Amino acid sequence: MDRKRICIFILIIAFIPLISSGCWDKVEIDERAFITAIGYDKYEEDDRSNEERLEKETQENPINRYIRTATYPNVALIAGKQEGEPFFIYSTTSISWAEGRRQVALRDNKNYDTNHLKAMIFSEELAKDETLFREIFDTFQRSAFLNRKLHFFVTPNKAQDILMTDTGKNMDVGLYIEELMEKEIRPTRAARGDMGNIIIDLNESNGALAPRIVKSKDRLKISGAGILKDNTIVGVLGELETRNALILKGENKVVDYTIKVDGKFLVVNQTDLQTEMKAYEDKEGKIHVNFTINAEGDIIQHYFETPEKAFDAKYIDRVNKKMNEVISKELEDLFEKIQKDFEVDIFKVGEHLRKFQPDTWEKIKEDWDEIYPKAKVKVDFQMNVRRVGIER
Amino acid sequence: MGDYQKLFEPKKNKGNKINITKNLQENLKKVKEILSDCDDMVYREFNVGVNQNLKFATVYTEGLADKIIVNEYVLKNLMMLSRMTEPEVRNVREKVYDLIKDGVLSVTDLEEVDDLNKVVDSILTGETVLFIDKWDKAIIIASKGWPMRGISEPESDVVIRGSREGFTETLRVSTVLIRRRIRDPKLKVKQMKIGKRSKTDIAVLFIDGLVNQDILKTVVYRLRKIEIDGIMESGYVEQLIEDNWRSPFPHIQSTERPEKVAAGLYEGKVAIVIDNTPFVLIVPTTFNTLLQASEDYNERFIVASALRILRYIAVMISILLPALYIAMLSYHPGMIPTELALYIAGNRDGVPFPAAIEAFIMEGILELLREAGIRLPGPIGSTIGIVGGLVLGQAAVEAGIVSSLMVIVVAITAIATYSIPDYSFGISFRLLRFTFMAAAAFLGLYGVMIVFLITLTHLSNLKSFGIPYLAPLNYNMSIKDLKDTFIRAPLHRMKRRPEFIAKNDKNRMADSFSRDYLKKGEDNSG
Repeated sequence: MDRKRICIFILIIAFIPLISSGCWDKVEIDERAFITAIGYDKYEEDDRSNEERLEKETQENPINRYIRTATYPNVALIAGKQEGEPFFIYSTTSISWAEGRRQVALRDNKNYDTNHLKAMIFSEELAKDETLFREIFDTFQRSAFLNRKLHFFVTPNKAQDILMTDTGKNMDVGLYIEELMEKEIRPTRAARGDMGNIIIDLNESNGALAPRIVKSKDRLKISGAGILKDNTIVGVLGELETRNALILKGENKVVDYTIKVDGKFLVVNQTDLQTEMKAYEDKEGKIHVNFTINAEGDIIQHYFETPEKAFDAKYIDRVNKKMNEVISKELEDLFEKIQKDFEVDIFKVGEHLRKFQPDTWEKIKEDWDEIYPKAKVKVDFQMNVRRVGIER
Repeated sequence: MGDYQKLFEPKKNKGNKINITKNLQENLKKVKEILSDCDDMVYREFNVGVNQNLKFATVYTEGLADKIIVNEYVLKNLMMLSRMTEPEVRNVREKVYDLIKDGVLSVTDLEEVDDLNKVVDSILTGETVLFIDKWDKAIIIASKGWPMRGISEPESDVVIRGSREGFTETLRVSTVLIRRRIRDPKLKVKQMKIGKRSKTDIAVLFIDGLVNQDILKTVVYRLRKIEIDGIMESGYVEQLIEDNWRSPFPHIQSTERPEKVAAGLYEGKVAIVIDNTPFVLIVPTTFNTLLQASEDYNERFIVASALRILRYIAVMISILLPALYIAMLSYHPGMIPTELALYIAGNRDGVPFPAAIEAFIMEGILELLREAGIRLPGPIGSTIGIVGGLVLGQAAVEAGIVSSLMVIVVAITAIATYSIPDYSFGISFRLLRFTFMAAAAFLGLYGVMIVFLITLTHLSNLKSFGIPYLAPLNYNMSIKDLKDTFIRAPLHRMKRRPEFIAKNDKNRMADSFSRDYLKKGEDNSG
């Protein structure tokens, strides 16, 4: 064999893996449907009995467990080419995630693409069923095609209803939720939970805060948080409670507080909240959890025509003191509620001990579930009003 | 005899010599035989001397030789002046040749030859040959003078700040333009002829003491080896002496700008000037030099550096953008930001072609437009641009045959390609772009990466006359080597010539030179 032939031979050998390892999954972008939000509900027997009958004809023993709903935007509308509905929605009953996908694929002319998935919504009913919830959540976690930043929600309504909401802005619910969650001035009363963080939280402390989405008067609202523990939802927090929980977690930096001093309501805008948590074991073997929160304040509402007050250092001191008392109490109550009622360690006290007090943690980690509810909490809120605004 | 005489010594063709006889008529007959059927030759026989007993003859090519020189300074002197002075007959008989050579012809450049072949060559280059009866030599009188184009601004290599002079088709004018920029006796101009029939003059220019001897020897060796009947343009020489004829990248720089050549010579490079073309070749050439405009050195260094970086970005855009468009749209829509992905998807809704076909159609049309525009005269050329670019693009989008984003991509690519200063370099990238697009169409980003790596491998493998093409971007480069690459360092910081070329005299500026004295106010500026 001469040299040329050997060269060609080597080239062919080199070319085979090149071709065979390529991504031969070409789908044109306009043939894809970019699913933006996906929701799961628990299937109930009398629900959609009509459809079930249809399924029974094709499958031997259908056990429908979920209602899977997916929505994707009408891209032609976004590009300004057509008029029409802002989104398409497909719902199906299924036995598993994969089954649901196959079912929908039979009905839709587009290829589904979950790379741009923005939100996944679980009805609380489903989240209370540990088996179902773990199945679906595992699928999300396992997928390499999903963005870890996608928003995770629980809802007291049906996920299907949430996805079918008309946002009134001519846009898809998934995109709407994303913009709602990612806006520059973030709402302080909604928990922040993207899938990555919730997975980390569940791994580290077996508890997490999941934002809650509700439908009220045909409009969507992000409101409060659901508390996840042991892979199910164990309770919910209201909006103010969520805000306080986020302060304790150190995730809220700018918060407004309305407070009554000397019989008048005033609003203090707290900026630069610095939360520090410290947990330790005292000599009697009791666990203490101390929060030190430093805040800078900005009086944004006072009482018209009382200029001297806001400039009075003693008055400001009184405001500070009052706020410290009130807020510290509020935060302590919240901590105890989560600690005693739900017995969930969402503030990661255990993780803190493991990281910073490894000796203590070694001692108590076996009995942490019993020890944690008995831990003593103290919140030290340090308010410092620095700015009082402009006056005549 | 200079140091380089031996290097440039032509090969001797021994068997070919035709002796000049003492018989004038016989000589003329031989010349006429060789130049038979060449009606543009002028033969003039005349008698000289008081007694009209000396027979002379001149031969030259009409149009190539300057008639004024022949008439005023050769014929007139010989026929009239020599008749007025009355030499002693005996002396004349013996010294007539010296007398004529040294005393009569008022032309600066004379040469005696004894070979008829040389005589014919000289006639064909525009010299005038003087035969004298009863003498076995001929005198070649330099009388080249043909209509030539004046020096004008180069069309292919335009600058805003810089010299407006460009090379012309005449070799001598071109070397003069370079000589005017290097008034150094060390600037050597060595000439040779290439082409069996065209006998094209080629001048090799270099600065003695600066030039990299290895490169010079390689250049001369390769030029010597050329055996071809005719050289039409510098492109012929370029293709015959370049290192790798398979490569899509030019590794010899051709330019119309004298200062570019002069700057190259100052860096220790070698210039090859070729007759009949305004393009001068500079060797060796690196990837980096092809992305430099001569204006870079005339502008402030911050501006110049920014422009350099911009050009590198333009290169990346011009080869990668359509390929990325295809790969992203067809294989990896997840990599596009959501809003954009949705917009593109909506925008492409109803477009009948896949992204790859669409891109090939549009890029193909762009190349067609460019090709059509180049061959047409100016005003019609711009009409093509308008019809093609505006009307066609708009109509295609409105008809829904291509998406508007594709038109934008094509336009950006075209603009990026045109911002590459060297024309032939730009063509290489245009070609390469289609390879990238094909790879993207079949294999997505994976394919783009493969072709990118293959291209890089090829580039790092390429050499121009022994100098790595990617120099000074080597595996062992230091920060200092980057002074004249992605950025252009301030002029007073570039004290050394490029180290990979200049081996002998490395200092461009005196080491002692610094701009610090300005700070101290020594120049009385206060």
